[in-house]
Amino acid sequence: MAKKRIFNVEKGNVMQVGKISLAIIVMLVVFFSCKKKTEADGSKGALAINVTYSVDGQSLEFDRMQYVNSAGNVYSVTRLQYYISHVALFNKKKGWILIDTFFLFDARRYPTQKIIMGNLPLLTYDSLRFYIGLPPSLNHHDSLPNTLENQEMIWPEMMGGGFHFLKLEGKFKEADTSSTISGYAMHLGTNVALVTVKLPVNIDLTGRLVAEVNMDMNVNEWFRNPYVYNLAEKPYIMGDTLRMQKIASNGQDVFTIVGVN
Amino acid sequence: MGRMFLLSLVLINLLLISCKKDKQVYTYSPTPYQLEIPEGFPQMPTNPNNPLTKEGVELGKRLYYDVRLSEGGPQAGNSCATCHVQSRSFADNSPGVSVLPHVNLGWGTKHWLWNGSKQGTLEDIMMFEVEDFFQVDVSRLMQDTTYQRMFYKAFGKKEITSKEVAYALAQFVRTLISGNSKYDKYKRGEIDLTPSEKRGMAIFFSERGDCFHCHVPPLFTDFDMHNIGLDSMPADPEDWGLFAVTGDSADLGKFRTPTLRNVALTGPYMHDGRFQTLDEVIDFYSEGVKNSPTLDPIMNHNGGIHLNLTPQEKEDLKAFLLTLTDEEFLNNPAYRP
Repeated sequence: MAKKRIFNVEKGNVMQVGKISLAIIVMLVVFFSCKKKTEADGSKGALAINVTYSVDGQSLEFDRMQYVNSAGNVYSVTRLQYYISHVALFNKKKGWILIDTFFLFDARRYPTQKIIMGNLPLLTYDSLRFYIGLPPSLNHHDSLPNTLENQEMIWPEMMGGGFHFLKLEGKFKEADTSSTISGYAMHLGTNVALVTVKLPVNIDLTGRLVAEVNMDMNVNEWFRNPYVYNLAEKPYIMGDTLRMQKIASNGQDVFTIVGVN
Repeated sequence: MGRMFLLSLVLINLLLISCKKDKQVYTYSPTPYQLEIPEGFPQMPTNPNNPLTKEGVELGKRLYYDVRLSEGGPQAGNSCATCHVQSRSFADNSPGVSVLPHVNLGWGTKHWLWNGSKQGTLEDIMMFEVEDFFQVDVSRLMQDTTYQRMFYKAFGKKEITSKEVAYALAQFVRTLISGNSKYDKYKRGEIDLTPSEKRGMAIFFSERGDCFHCHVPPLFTDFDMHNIGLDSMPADPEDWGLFAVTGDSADLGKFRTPTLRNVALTGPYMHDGRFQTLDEVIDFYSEGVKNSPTLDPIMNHNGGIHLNLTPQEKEDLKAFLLTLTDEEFLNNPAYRP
C-alpha cells in the first residue's frame, strides 16, 4: 500500500507536475501566440528598394555612345527620368497589399536611388508590382506636390495633360557604320502609356522590420521585347500613341530583381 | 576736489547715455519678409542660413544699386543694376552685352551663369559676384554709417564680411518675382488671349514648337544646360559653354536655359547676344539649328532639327511670347532704389 501510495503519491506528483507543466506550456503558448499576434497587428515593416541602371550587364554611363540595342542602333543616354507609383506586394493569404505612393527617379542625378516604403504588414511576399508612370488618379496637374522637379515632368494640357511617365533621351547612330548622329527622345505619358511591372520576389518580413530589394533597370529592354524598336524609325515619340504603347509594352521587362536582403 | 568729482560724474553719465543711445540705434530685431508667390508657382526654395527679413531685403536693394560695390575692383563704376536694369526685366540690352535676367532666380538650384560655371544656392552665386566679379572691398562700404546701421539691423553684426554682402543681395534678388503677365492672367481665367496668341501657345506647348521641354512653365526655364545648335563646331572658347568648365566633350555648346519671362525686353539673345530680335530667334529655331554630336536630343523634333514654321506660325509664336511681359514687375516701385 505504502508502495502503492508512494507510487500513487509519486504518480500523483508526476501527474501534478505534468498538469503544472502542461498549464505552463499552455500559458506560454497562449502568451507567445498572443504576443506574436500583437506584433503582427501592431508592428509594421518597411520595404527599401535600391534602383541601379545597366545596359546588358554594363553599368550605365551617361553621354557615352557605346551601347547597342536589339535593332543594331549604337546609342548613348543623356537623360533618364521616370515615376514609379502604386507599389504593391503579394501575400498568398492577404492578396495584393498596395503602398499608395509615388517616386520620381532621376538616374543622371542619382545613379543609385533608394526608396523606402513603410506601414507594411509583417508577412511574407512573393511578388512585387508597380507602375512606371502614374495611375489616372494621379495623372493630372494638381495631383502631385508643386515642386520644380514635378513641374519639369508636366505633360502639356493640349497634349493630354498629366505628367511625363518616362523621359529617356540620348544620341544614336542607326548602325555602327553610320556617320550621322541624331538625337532620340522616348517620352511616355497619358494613361495609354502606363507601364505595369510585375516581378517575382521572396520578401520575408516576419522576422524583421525592414527588407531591402535591389532592382536594376536594363535600358536595352526599352528597345527589345516584345517590339524591337529601331530608333531611326521614329526617334521622337511624344504624342505618338502607337509608338508610345510599343515602348510601354517593352517597359514591362526593364527591371529585374538582383538581390533581396 | 568736490567740483572735480562732480565733473567726473557728469562725464561718466554723458558717456553712458551716449553709449546707450548707440545701442538703441543699432537694435537687432529683424522683421520676417513674406514673399508673395504667384498662383501656380512652386514654393521657392529657402535657405535656412539666410532667412528673408525686411531689413535684409532693404539692405540688399541698396547694395544692388550702389556703384561703391565695385570701387577699387575690376568692375569699378558699376553696380549690379548697371547690367540688370528693371525696365529690361533686370537684363541689359547694351550692344555686346548679354546677361541672364535677374528674374525668378529664387527658384534656381542648379547651374548659374551662361556656361554653368557656378553651382549651388543663390547665396553661393552672390558670393561669387561679391568676391570674384566685383571684388568688393567691404571696409570701404563700412565707412558709410548708413551701411553700418543697416548691416547691424539685418544681420546683428558690426564686423561685416563678404558673406553678409552676398546674403543681403541674395535676399533682394529673391524678391524679384515676375508672375503677373498676360499669360498668367489668362491662366487664372481673368482675361482671354487673342486667336494669334492662342495659336502661338499651341505651338509652344506641343510638338510643333516643342519649346516647353526646356522653357518649363511657370518659370519658363528648367535651369538646366542644353546645346540648342547655335554652332556645329564652335572654335571660340566663349562658345564652348559647359565644356569650357568641365572639359567633357559631351558638354560642348551647352548653355543654361534662360527664362522667357519678359523675353520681349531681354534681348539681345543667346549667350553672346548674336540675335537682336525675337524674330531672329524664332527664325533660328525654324531654319537655323546646326547639328552636332552634342546637340540636345530634344532638338530632334518630328522628322528633323528644324521646326520649319510658316510665316503665320512665326507671328503666332511671337505673339504668345509677348504675353509673358509683366508690366507690374517691370514698374514695381519696390524694386527701385
